[in-house]
Amino acid sequence: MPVSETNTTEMGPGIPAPKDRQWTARVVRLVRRPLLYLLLTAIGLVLFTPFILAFLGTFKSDAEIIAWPPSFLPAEWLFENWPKLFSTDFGGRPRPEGATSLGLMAGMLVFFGAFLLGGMSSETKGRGVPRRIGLPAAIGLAFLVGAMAAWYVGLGFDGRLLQLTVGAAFFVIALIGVGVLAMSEPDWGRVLLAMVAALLLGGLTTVLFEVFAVIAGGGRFSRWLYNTALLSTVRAFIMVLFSAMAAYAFARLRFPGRNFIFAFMLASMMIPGAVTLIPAFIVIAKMQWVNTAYSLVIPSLVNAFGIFLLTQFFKAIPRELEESAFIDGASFFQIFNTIVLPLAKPALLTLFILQFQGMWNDFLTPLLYLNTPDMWVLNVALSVFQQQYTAAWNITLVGAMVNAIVPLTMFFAFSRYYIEGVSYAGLKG
Amino acid sequence: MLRDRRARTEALTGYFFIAPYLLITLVFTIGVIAFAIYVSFTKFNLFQAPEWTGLDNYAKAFGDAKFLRSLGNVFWYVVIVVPAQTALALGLAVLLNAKIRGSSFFRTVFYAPSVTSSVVITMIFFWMYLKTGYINLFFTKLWALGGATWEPIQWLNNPTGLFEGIAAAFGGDISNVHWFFQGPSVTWMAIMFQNIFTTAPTFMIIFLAALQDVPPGLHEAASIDGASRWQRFRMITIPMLRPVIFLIVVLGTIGTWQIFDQVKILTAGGPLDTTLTPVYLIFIEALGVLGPPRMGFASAMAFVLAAIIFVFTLIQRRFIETGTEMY
Repeated sequence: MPVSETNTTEMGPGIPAPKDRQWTARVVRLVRRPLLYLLLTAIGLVLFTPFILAFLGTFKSDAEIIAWPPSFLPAEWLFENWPKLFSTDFGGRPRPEGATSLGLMAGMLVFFGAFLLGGMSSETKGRGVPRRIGLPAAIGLAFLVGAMAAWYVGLGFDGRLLQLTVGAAFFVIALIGVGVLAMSEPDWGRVLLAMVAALLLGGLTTVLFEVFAVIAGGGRFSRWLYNTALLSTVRAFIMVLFSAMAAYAFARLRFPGRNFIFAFMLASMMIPGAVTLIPAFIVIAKMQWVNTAYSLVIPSLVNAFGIFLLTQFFKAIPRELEESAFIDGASFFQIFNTIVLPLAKPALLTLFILQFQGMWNDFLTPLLYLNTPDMWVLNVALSVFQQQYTAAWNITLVGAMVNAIVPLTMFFAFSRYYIEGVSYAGLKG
Repeated sequence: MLRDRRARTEALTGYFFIAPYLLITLVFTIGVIAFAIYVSFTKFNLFQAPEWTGLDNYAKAFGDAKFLRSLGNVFWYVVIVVPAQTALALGLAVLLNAKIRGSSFFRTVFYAPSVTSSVVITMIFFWMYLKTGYINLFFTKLWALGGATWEPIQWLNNPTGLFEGIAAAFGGDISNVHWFFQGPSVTWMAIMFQNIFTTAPTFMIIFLAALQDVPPGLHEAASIDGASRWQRFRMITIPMLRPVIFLIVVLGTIGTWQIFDQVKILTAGGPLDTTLTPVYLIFIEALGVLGPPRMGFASAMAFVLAAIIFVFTLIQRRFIETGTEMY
């Protein structure tokens, strides 16, 4: 530390006191560091105090937790408060359309992922089934995927518009997959095979995750945990995949309208969410998506911020690697899949974590769209819980702690990616 | 010929790659906003067809006592919370930027509470704000240090305004002046405190990243010239951080104007409407809590709110950019 920082005003004018000066400087230097550590520890404790108090509160009795003056440690440690949370029941059976929607969202992720991964092996440059047979057949299969999704929705719920809209969403997603693969002059036989395999895999996943939802129950804590975990995971996965695709297009591919769309996307990030709240709710209510997983997953499968973040990241990757692959005859999708994505792993993980956390912590949208107890996510359940059992603060706090554990664990496991993501968002945004 | 074909494949691949973004944005952003503009000029309760009423909803919004009240409330909220959380975040970042061992450990610890959901933190604060809660205990102990006694208060049910309370402390009574000039209520300030507490660490991380980009040479040169620590902070750190400060002020402003979670959980707008906010009003209109849903009216309120946020952002930009010219 430079000497000039120490206070020298006490010394009279014209009296040189180099020894005194050195002495003060040394004291400052000696004291500063422990003081700083003390201050940082104190701030850390203050920031964590609510969590520590709440954690200790979960073990207190109904009376002790609202007694005056509040105690620090529980008079008696009631460990049975924690299992109590899991045995609370808000009634309400698992509605079939709700469970189906959860299953189908998991199925959508598996179908799209398996289709693209399986389709990769078909990139052997147009041998086997010719394009004029393969392409229409693939489009037909995409239609079948949509039709099957619509049929499956109709099994548990009598609603034309819901069937139609969900079917259309699946058809479009399958079509996008076909389009992406078609760009690389593939072996169409293998594409069709990959599609059928993905359809089977996705269907199996759908049934499996629907059964899990039913087993998890209706208005029970296990179901809310299941809903939150499933929605957060599926949405974050698909969103990262779609964001990466769009970002690669914006960073590398030339197509008419690219700059305009990119500029529009940046501008759209400034629109306050309150503006779309009402009309989006109307549209979703009209499509009969209320109280299903579609309302939370499908409208937010893409995210301008995520695309922007990855675009900046892809632009920073040197082009040479891709160009040599291109000369070797690789398609854009192959380059994207085998060169760009592996290089971007840290950025993809960062985005995944931020999006997972974003869904896990969302409150307003689930509160608006999910009203039946079997579809609540943890945040909604927690707020209803607190209103219903105003006296049982200990159980409410258990709920709060369980809700906080997942984001906190993820944070401590991946804290580097969190901090990079947040600071990147700030600096380049 | 080959080039043409390659360009065409490239363009088509590009469109397929952005297709998910384009389709979803077309429906759920552009389509939905266009629809909202239309709905805001109609009377629409979800069940009957919309009925065109022109500017009626906007006129009603500006004459609606609750909506005006909510705007006034949030005005105080933004004016107090945004500077406070920005300053606190900057202060924490400067502390953490010191070159000491373990600073990344403290960074992790400071940021950790911010990764949990606002519902969790609000719930914990709800409990701490109870009349028999820790906040009252804290003030009881603090007052006891000075030999006084603290009367535990209902933090979440206290409509007394800030200026009203200050006036009362000096024996004045301003309970007859306009509600706006009575200042934010005690309950509203309790929510502000909680919000500052939970948002500052997030912005701290952004500041910290920006601080680490300030070239250390600048500080060394200035300290050789005899600049004090405070002078270097004023003359080097702050000007270098100006774009980031602008960003954080804007992000904070957009966020605070739309505050919802805390109000929904803690107060539902009470006591005496002193914590009512626009987004909360929009939310209860959409669900039809106060009678049949008034979608048109709610949309009009949303656009008024968006316009206010936009104007605020422009003013801030003006303000912060004018500052830059000084250096």
